[in-house]
Amino acid sequence: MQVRSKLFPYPVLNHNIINSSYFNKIFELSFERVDSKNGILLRNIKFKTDSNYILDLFRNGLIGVKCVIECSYTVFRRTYELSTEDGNNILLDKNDFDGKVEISSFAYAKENFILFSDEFSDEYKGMEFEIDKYDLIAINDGFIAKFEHLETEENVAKSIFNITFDNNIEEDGMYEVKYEGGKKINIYLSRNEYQNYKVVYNSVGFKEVFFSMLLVPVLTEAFTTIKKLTELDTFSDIEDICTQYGWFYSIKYRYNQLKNHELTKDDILEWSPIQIAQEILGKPFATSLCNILDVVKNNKEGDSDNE
Amino acid sequence: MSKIYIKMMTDRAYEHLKRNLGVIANKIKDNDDNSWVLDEFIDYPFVEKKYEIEDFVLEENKESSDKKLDFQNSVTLYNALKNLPTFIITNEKFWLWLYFEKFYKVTKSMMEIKGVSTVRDHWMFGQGIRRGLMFGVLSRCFFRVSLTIDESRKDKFELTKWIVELPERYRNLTWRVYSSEKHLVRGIISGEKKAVEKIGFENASFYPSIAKYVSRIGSVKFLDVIEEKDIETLVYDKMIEYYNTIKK
Repeated sequence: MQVRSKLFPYPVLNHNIINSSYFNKIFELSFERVDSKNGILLRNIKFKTDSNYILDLFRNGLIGVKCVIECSYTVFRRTYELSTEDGNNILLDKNDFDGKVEISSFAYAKENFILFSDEFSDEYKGMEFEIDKYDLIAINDGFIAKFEHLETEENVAKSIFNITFDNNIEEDGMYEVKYEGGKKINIYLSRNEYQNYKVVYNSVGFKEVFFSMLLVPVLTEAFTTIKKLTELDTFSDIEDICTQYGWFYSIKYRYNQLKNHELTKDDILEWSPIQIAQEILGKPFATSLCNILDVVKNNKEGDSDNE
Repeated sequence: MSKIYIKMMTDRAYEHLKRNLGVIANKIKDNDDNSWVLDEFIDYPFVEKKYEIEDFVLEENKESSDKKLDFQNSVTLYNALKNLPTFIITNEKFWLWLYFEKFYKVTKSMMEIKGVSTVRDHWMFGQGIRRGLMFGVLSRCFFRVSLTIDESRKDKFELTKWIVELPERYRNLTWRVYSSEKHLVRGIISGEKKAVEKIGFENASFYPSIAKYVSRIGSVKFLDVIEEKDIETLVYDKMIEYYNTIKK
């Protein structure tokens, strides 16, 4: 749940100081993050504030504090009670999520009371406000965690590309590519060429030929686009690229394996798209050339035999 | 019944469906069985997953006109799928297996294919994941039960039966983010039901206003923590207020 810059008819302590009606006070979540194969454990999760007024309201039972976990893709939304003490854990179970998960926290009124504090910012100083049960008292829009259910990590090409056919594409040797808006780069062939592709792809020794013919140029163009956008400072970080281009998760994963270090924006600014595309796809050119050479040799031998 | 592994539509087949929606809509319209599906996709369009469920059957129900059968199908679907992980039950490719393979005939019988929009919105999640789940021919049946089942009632399906009888009583809520909180949905439906029972007649045009009213409450108050009884009272009072305006 994100409140962002929404205004309220009474003072609200917002962790984002620009939107807060309290003078220089914080309201935040504190926890130790423990990642595991089952998800993320938020150990010893609690709220922290340096507002004595908010702490007094909490200790006197006038307000409660909850953490809201929300994932729009799995329509998951649940709240968890928070306190100022250690000992509470929240497990973000991987099974409940896919993609972005928002973790935020809010203080709310548990009953009607009068809000009055010398911690208010100048425009509210000296004023009293009638607060109703369930009104929001303090806000922290929190942070975002990411969950992915990658099942094809071991197969680089399958985790990046989706090759299919479109009945509307003419059989003239052209294909179409779509990079944006999906978890994979989509390559569309005509129906007939798709059937031919299936035969070649499944023939022993020809997979690399197909990689060189189709996948290397497609990935090169995709990397060129990503590099240009990075130069224009379009992305805040690598996660931001992954959010906008879902297939980039697999690139990041493969890059980290190949180079033994975490991919950064600086790496992208320095890379050669055609070289990195070949590396990611396992340098298929030499293998495909050898395979074609074998076919050529076999054909020649066949011709000699016939003579 | 025996156990079966669930399946999901492959990425490739899903992309093909989205790209060729017009052709697919016509094929569904023209074919009462799904024998065309394998020809259309060239490769087998589904992949088996590690999750097991008890096999189950659903009954054909022409345009969902038999409300009793609609309710029975909804409960059967819910009981069969309720233990699957959330990320599976909310994944469009899982529902597409049910629509295009397992329950093609049932799905087709439940809603007349009037054009591409029927397939886009009610089979294909064309308006995003939340609307897709709540609009989908079968997925909406699952969520009608999942969001309204109430173990604390003598008849735990009391609210489910009430919304299956007239889906307008609930539909407008489900497009809104707050409907992920089951206790809010149950409280709102309870408030609506009590008001209708008190007044003795029903005006369905109030339901969209109630959904907006709850959103307005959420613009200042922390909606998620409002107790079920409190939201029920708020909605009941607002419904009575609406009915009083037409009485006058």
